[in-house]
Amino acid sequence: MSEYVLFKQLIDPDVCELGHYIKLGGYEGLKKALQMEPVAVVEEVKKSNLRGRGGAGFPTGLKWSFMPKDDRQKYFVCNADEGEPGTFKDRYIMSENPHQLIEGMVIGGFAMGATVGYVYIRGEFKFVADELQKAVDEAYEAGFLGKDILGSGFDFDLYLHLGAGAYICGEETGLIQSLEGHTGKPRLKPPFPAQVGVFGKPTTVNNVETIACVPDIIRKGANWFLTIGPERNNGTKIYGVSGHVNNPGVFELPMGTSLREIIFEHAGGILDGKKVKAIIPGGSSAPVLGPEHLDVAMDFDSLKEAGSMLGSGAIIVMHEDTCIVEAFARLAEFYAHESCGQCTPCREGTPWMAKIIRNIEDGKGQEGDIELLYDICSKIIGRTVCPLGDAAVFCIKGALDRFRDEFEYHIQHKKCMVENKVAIYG
Amino acid sequence: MNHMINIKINNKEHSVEEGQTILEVCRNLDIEIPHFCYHPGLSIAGNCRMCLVEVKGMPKLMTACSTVMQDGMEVLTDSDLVKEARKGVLEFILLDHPVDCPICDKSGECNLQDYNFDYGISERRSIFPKERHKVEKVSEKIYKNDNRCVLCTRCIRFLDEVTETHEFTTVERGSHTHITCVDPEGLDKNPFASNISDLCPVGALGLNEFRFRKRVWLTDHVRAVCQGCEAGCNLTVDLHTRHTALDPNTGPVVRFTSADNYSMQRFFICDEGRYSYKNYNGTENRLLHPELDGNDVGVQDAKAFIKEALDSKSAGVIVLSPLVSIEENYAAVLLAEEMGYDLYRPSPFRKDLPTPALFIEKVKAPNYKMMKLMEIPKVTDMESTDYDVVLVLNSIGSIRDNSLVKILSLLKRAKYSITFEVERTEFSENSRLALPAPMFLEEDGCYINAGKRIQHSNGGLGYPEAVRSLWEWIYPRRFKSPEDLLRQFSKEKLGVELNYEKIGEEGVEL
Repeated sequence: MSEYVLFKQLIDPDVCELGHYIKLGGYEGLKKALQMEPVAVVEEVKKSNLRGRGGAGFPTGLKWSFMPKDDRQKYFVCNADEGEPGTFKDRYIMSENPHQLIEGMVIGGFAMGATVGYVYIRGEFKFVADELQKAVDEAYEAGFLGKDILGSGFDFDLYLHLGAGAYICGEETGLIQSLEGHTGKPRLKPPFPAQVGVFGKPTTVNNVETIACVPDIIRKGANWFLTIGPERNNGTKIYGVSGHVNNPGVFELPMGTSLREIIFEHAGGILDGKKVKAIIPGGSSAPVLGPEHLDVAMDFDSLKEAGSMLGSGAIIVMHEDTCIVEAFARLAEFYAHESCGQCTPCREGTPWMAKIIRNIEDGKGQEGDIELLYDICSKIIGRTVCPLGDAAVFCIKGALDRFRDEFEYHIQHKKCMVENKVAIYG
Repeated sequence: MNHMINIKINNKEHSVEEGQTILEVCRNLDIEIPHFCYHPGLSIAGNCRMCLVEVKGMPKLMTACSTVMQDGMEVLTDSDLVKEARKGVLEFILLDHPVDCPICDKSGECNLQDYNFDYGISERRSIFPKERHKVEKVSEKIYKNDNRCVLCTRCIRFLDEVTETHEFTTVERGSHTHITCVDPEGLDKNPFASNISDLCPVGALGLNEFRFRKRVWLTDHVRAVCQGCEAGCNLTVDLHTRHTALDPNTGPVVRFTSADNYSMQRFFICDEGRYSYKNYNGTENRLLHPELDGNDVGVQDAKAFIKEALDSKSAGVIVLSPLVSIEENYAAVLLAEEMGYDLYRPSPFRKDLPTPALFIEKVKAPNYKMMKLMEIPKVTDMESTDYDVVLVLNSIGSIRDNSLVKILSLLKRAKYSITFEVERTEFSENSRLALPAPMFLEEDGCYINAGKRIQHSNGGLGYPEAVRSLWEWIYPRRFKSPEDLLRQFSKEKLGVELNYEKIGEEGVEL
């Protein structure tokens, strides 16, 4: 039985209520942090090796230390856009264990000198935002938010902001634009948000899961956190398993749990006892893996070594009756649909790729299409304003690399390699 | 002088001022970096990705427009990787571009066209049909063709940042993104709106009145100074030089567009100035021959009359003009000094500023500052009007009524009344001798703007028939060109030695 750091609702189903949360040690971390120097809080987070759970795996403490130490207004933003296809983890923290996120926000705000926090929640999660708002109201009433928190003299206000349904608003500068009331179009970097962020002020953006790890790190100490998971990839991770498994769902497990354990022990194995064909390990932007990777440890470094990435930890499993071309035609269309349209390579390249793959799927593929797709990929990657173009390339190039034979079969035979293929809904 | 840094571009070392972007540095060094979204008068957008260059030590290509040059930076603008990236961006842009250059008015001055010839590929690899949009008249002056748009957002940024009127915005997402006008009435009223047609690097925005009117490569370009007000904005004047059978019969000036002046940090012109090109396309009233007592006379007869007037040794007065160039005014000043004539100036017309006004000036005359610098008294302050010789320089239409009345009374009383006019006006009708003057664009001339910048405007058209500059009427032997007058004027009146080369394209601040 592993330890629950984030999903405390599995220990006490009523943890969303303040009283229950406090009983489980809630807001102890905040009390401890407020008695520390802000720099010491940042140091503690650095020491814990906590890495960003949104996808990039950037060390959180290091990110916090980028915030300037001057008198300017600063903002701490929680990225709860949760837009990566296959990802459905943050919503359960926000609806089931919301106080842990709030506590993490206040601690982070204190550590970085930010007195205002925003939680940017995707618009489709209105019902989740309502739950979180209830908890925020409770926290204000109990003095964990607002002026002079716990008599420390530190003020912190927390606002919820609903997005309007754009994948790109999960990219931090797109999120900031959207938060300010503009269209979600990522900004050029530099300047980075730590210098020029929300309303032109220093800002740090962290994922929900990242922030929710902080209270326990402070309360129990960084050394405790280091005992969970492999080196440099410490802590627990919420894995969301979807696709062709018997028991899809979210599972909080120590970082570095193998794909095999997650899929077969926790997610109940593959539907109808079929064989695994493809696994996307970290949301659709992570290059797809195959059955030979079942024993890869699900952490940042191991997956990088395997040629993919942990991303948001959203595992999409496809079994042998899946048509890869169809599945990735759907994903390519997703990226084309979600491109913000700002910069040329992504705006024009993603729909072109989507059309080509759809053509291949429809039996209208031509000789040279695969080479053309590779060439388009090379003309997008690294040349866009934000990482959406890169993400689309990782996704499509990953599929081409691994399942090139299937694409070729489609082009040559004008039909699918898989007989009795399962439907893909899009 | 700012701190200098040492950098390398294409393996060649340079020492440049700190704080500039790669693109700015390369622009100053005449190294071409293609770009669509960058414009020196607007904020950096970095969205076209055309200006990607290789910076040693960086894992990715960098946008030259947004990357600031650092000491020791090594930049490659012509590596294979950079060329390949440019090909990629151009191919992406052309996926949905109609390539309708033969009917596009931007053709010949289109960045996309130029870059594709220089860096692009000619084959089309996409088999998918292009998306089509209707051409839209977004305002009285401007049309928009979404098919050709590259979404550089220069027009949006201009309307957001420069005029702050926000008529344009992008709507929708991804490849459906397009630019839309949310305030057509505002665009009609915006006194700077037509700049977006110059700003557009492709043929997506254009002026209704220029549409299908002239192929730009059949024009000659001349750099001039706008005559509309004291601001002295720089113009590129397009002249009809190579006529084709299809040309409408519309006179010699095709259009005015803005010419960048980095020294003034000015890249735009007002619509009033832009459309003032029509004033120079001829009029039935043009004075083409000297007129003595109402009759056309030859040049020699006119000169004889001038000689008679000067030889009369009577009291004389010259009314200068804030409308004409330094050279013309200075010829008159010299005459006054030699003959002991009095010098006066009319008061130019003033006009309330529009909103936004930006750089537009109230005084509607291009050379008023010269009168002010020389401390020429106002004609309305004149006490006695008892002059036998009166010379009035072309200023009608741009002066106030009290000046006009005063000048008319001077002309009516004088024994020898001479006017120097482009058209037949109330002045020429009330004078004994009317000398035909060259129009703006027919002779070189300098003007001093409100910011005390002396600028040179080129004459591209040449004089018609018996038209002569004033110095040619009165000092045909002493000076060989208007530049001689400018040299003498700047030395004697401004205390600096200037010539056209020194003044250059950007002018000299006094």
